[in-house]
Amino acid sequence: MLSARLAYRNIPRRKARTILTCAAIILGVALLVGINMATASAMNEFAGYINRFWGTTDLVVRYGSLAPFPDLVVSTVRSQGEITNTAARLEWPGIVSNSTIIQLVGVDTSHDFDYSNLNVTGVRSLQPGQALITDFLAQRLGLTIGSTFNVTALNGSGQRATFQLTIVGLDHPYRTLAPTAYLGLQETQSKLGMTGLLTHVYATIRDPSRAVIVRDSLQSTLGRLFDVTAPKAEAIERINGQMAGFQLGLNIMVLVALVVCSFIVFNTLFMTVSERTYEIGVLRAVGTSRPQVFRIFLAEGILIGLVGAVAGVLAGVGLSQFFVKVFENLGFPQLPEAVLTPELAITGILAGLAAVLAGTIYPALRASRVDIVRAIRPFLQGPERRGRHAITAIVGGLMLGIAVLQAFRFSPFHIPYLDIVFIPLSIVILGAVIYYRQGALAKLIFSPVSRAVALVVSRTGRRRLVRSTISFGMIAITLSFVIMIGGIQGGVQTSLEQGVREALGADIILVANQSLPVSFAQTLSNQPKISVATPLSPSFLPARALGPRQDVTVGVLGIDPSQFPRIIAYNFLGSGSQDEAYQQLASSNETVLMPDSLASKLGVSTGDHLTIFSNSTTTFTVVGIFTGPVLQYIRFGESYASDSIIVNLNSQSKYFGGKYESPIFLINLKPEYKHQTALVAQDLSTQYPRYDLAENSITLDQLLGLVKTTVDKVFAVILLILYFAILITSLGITVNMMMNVTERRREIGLLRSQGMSRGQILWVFLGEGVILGIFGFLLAIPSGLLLLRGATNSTTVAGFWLPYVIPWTAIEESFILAMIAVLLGTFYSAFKASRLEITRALQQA
Amino acid sequence: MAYSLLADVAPLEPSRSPLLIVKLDHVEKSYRLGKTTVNALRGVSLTLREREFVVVMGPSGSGKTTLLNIIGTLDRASSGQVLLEGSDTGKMRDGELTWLRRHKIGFIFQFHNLIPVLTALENVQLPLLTSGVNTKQAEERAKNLLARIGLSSRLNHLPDELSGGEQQRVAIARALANHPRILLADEPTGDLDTKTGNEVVQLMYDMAKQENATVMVVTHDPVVAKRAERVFEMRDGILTETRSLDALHHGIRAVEQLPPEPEKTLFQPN
Repeated sequence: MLSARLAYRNIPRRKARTILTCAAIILGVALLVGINMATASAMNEFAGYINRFWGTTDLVVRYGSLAPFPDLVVSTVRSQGEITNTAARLEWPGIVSNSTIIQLVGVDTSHDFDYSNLNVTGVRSLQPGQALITDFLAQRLGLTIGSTFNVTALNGSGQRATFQLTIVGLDHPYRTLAPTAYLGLQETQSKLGMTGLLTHVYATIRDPSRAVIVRDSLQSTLGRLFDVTAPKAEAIERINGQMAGFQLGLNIMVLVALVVCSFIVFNTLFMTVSERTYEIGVLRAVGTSRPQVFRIFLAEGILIGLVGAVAGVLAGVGLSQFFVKVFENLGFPQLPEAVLTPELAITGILAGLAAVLAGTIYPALRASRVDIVRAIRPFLQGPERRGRHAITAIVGGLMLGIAVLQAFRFSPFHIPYLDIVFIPLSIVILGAVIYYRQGALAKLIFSPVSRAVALVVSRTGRRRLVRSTISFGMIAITLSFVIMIGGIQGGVQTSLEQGVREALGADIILVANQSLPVSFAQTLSNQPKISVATPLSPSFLPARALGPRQDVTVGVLGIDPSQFPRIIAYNFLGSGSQDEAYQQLASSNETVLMPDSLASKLGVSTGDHLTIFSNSTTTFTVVGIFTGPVLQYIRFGESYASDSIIVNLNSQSKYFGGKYESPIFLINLKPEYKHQTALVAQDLSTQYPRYDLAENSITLDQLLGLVKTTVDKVFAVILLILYFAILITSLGITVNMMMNVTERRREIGLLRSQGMSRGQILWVFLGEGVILGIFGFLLAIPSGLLLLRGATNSTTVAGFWLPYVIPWTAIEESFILAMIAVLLGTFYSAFKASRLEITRALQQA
Repeated sequence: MAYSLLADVAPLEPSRSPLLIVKLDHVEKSYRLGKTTVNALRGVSLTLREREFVVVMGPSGSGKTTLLNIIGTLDRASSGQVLLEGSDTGKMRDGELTWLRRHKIGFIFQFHNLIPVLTALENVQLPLLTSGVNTKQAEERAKNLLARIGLSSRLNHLPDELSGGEQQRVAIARALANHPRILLADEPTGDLDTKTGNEVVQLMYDMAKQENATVMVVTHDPVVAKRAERVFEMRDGILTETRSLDALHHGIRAVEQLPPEPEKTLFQPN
């Protein structure tokens, strides 16, 4: 109680310092709360979006090849205990008059739970000859309710069937689906000659959180040819997986900010203990015990921490709005309002208190250990103890050694994140030893300004080392992470760029609004600026690959093996060469190539046989496996490129419904026209206006630019947090510099009395700040590069190869940030110092 | 040799009229302390001539330090005129006053006189570097001054490694580094024991004479006053001259009162 009362009365005695320390904690906690509220809002939006998109559907059953199956399957699905609702559908491609491919969906309008939830204008119930279509399809066809249109589709016997439909309703979906026309189920089955057949069964389950378990159970009941998916659960799982790394990155940066807060609290309390040594002596002399003294200072820390943490949580609510806006500017959809949950509020308060406690314990302990006689009679204290540098250097060196072994994975054990903690701390500790000798650097920098200023600044290292270490330590730690993040950003960029070049390395990726004969490639090759063109033909229907390890529904890409490798240079694994793989692919229709991710899922290697179920069940030979780090981000229709097999065009025609047609053509230009990709793409779109090439095609430069922009946006958010940490660092430096000026008033008076001008005094303090900034920056370089090494090694071990790229731009940026931080933190104090009245300054004892 | 310092000093010739260095004319200084106005100086008039050694005595709070600060351009008078070598400091801007302090004035304070992070040599070099002397010349001059005060062996010691007397001697060397016209000392012996105080005053006297500097010392210490050519008393902001001694007479008296082994005490570290 006494401790709290003393703390309460003491805190206002150092208003500016306390306010700045509180402000730092507020900012640190606000950062934690704000960023987590914003990311939670983004996650909620994703979840909401997935729920809106899939409605109440929890499971989808289809054949792996999307081939029709008997409607008896519905009763098998219903027989699963946990399934509450089913909707049977027949989904089939059709073409409308202007060559637009649409999805015909036969639905049981009275029992389809998903259909009954559509956002419809007009009539929902469908009579024979009536259809409900998506609004943008109606727009594209120039139709509305009451209009009629013709659809052509291949029926079950492979014959063309054309029929007329009247629009009775419009569906307004939450996102752009494939252009869709809903018809009555029986009518669809009858018109397509597929009576009693379905392609999809949609189902809801009693407890959606068990979707994955029910999915697996149903999959084993239905057998390997069926593909049972839990779309909502899988999508949320995928998004959580993708966001986890991002959130971890953000929270590590928030932690850096909170560590900086701890440093500031430590510094403030340390100064307070130094100033109040006499008071502590008196307290001890009148019978206050050591634990009581400890509690007095602990109470001061906790009081500052509580105020800062609570205010920080409130400020975090405001800051979350800022981050939501940042996310929206980065291309996230409009996010719902960020909500402060009780868990997050408590986490914020606990994090703030933890940061404060971490910074309070040592100063409080030091206060409790003060020698009474020396405290009361300060002149007995003698000069400060020196010569502890050897011990400090050994401790720092040992920590650095352990950290380096961890970062380079040389140690027999690996403790996660140990290198992240030890590298910057050890370098700051070693920096403290070297800082004592920074004089030459200061003289070099400031001699041109004034030799007298240079002399005073050069001896900064002899002043309060702990305080200086805190200042350059905060800068070094924050900038280490700026450099590390810059390096990771560069690495991710390089890795993705390399992946894109490997996967889609054509100068132009020409995408038409319809499938064109593959001979169009020859037409393109005849163009004067084009060196080679080749089709990349995704099959409309997927296939079901029955692997020894796992069955996977795969996409199918048809290529021309003689031309494709002239544009795309996949990196093949194993002993077989690229030429050999393509030769084998060309010579046999029962051969496939596949990416390593798919091979690993299926459990196959080069030379293995693989059964693939499409319009028939055929055994193929895997003739090549290639790497493709970005294939997981490329999607052709329903299938990701990372889950697609590659076959020759004949094989595609024979087994996978191919018709020697493709909407995608890869083009390489002649070397002299390589710089004109955009121009050539534009020329082609002008030459073939009905294919809408301009709308869909993309050049390699555009694709790489898109990748770069996306990576930059993601990293911009992480860097934004570090900029806040720099701001907190500035607050810390401000506290230090204010203390410096207060303590050195007499020195300022002396310097002024000896003829130093106001400008020179300003420079002395600015100079000291600049030296702290430069020193922090110089320490941040090795620290950041070592952290980066640790990060690249960790991601490589985790399966994502990240090249080690020295981030020169981030290093340059760090220097600017260091200077901004120190100048922001120093200028006010330096200005105040320069305006001090000399006689008043000299009055300080 | 301790006495050689004194021997170098040319005695003042009574017939010669030395240059006027400082002239104060009806100087007043008042400032507010809470709700009350304190009149620290009430119409002080004073002239100081070249190479004079004057002492101002008086009780605490009588305005001695204020007078010193105004002459030293650290503070400005509320009214009246302060002329330094004929220039009115009251009309000068901060930059001009800074220039005066840099080139014309040397200060010695009672305690914490040195910059704690600079060595003895660097402390003496500092005002030279401030006024633009190049590093080499500044170092030579500083070494020379420190040698003359017997601190050649303590050049690279930090202030907290020096005794109080040594620190004050460094402060004297520093104050004289830029060949000031006037040396202002505020209680220079206040923090020292009597013996060390004597040595410091003697050294200040000798060095100032060698450098042709006028000295004004504010002190409580009667021993310091005994060395003065003129003694003033400050009481309630009013300055009155109490006694005047000729330099030669003062010099003899000073020698008579030197400690038995001056070389040891003057030139060796305490």
